[in-house]
Amino acid sequence: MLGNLVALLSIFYVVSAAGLGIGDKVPDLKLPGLDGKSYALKDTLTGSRGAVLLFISTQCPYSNAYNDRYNVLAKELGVGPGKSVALLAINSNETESLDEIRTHAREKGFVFPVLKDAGSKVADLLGAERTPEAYFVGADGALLYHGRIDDDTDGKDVTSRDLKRAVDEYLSGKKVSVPQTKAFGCTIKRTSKGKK
Amino acid sequence: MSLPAIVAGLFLASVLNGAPGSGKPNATQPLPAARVAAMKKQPCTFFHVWATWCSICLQELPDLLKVMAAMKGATPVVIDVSSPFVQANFSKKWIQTLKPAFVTYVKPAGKDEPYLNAIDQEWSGALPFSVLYHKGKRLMVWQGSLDLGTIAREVEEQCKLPR
Repeated sequence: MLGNLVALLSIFYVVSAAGLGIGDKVPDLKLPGLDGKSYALKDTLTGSRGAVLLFISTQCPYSNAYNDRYNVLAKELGVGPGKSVALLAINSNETESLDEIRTHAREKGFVFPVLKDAGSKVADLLGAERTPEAYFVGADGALLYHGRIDDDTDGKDVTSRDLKRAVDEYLSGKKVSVPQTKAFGCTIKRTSKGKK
Repeated sequence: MSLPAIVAGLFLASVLNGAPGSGKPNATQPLPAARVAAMKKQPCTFFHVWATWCSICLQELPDLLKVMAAMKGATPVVIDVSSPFVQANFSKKWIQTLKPAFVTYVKPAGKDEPYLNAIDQEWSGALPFSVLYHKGKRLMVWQGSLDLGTIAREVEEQCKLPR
């Protein structure tokens, strides 16, 4: 048991130095939700065709600009025959309390689970740096997409729904054509500074 | 004057205009991605990227502008990547109230990704972000809030090293 724990922590520290690359297996993640349940990636993938891990914030205006689009995305992913891709939102900001996250989720009417990543451990594990930032994991646990939700924060001039396209391509058996994208966002507020 | 000479003259003028820090202090200019690329090729250029929606940026910018103005051996390039609407209605005016001792810049309207790649290919886009370039080579990078007590010394030490 102790040996497994040491091995797990070793993996954590090796991976956290650089984050995960496309095609890498995402280690099992287990985080508490605001609803009191514990959410594990492995369990989530067992009942679905994939999972979107979405780093969000209560305070970051860039993340908040997407609140409505988070809900739209969650509904699109989870609705329809054979299209059940789970969306798990993760809050890794040390500066945002559980109460604040709960209130924010309720006020915004989020239709997906919001998980609290205490100590930003999952953010470290994946190499997440900002909000919003999305990871799409296939049913086999491989990372298939990492990056932005779409190409326009304001939502008025979206020309590319990058995350949705990646999921759709995967669900239709195609290779994800653009597996990595970037966008501006708020730095995830970790306990230690994010200096590299 | 021949056409090639005119074209060469215009090119030279555009490069000179692209020199970081050129222009009137306390002024704000648009900074297209192509000019960012030209600035990175110059000796010791310290880029700092901020936006109004980044709370850390707003907190640290007033003091950071003073630190950057006093930095020896490095040219400061401060870029506001707020939306054009916010730039026009708030951020340009706000930064001018801080009276920076050098020209500051705004990202022109357009998509994020090509612009952030122009600043630094390895940057995820998280703000605030600072990077030190010397003749096209990235020397140091900072993400998140800066230690204003040490940043000037770190930059100056890097810029003093023989290369």
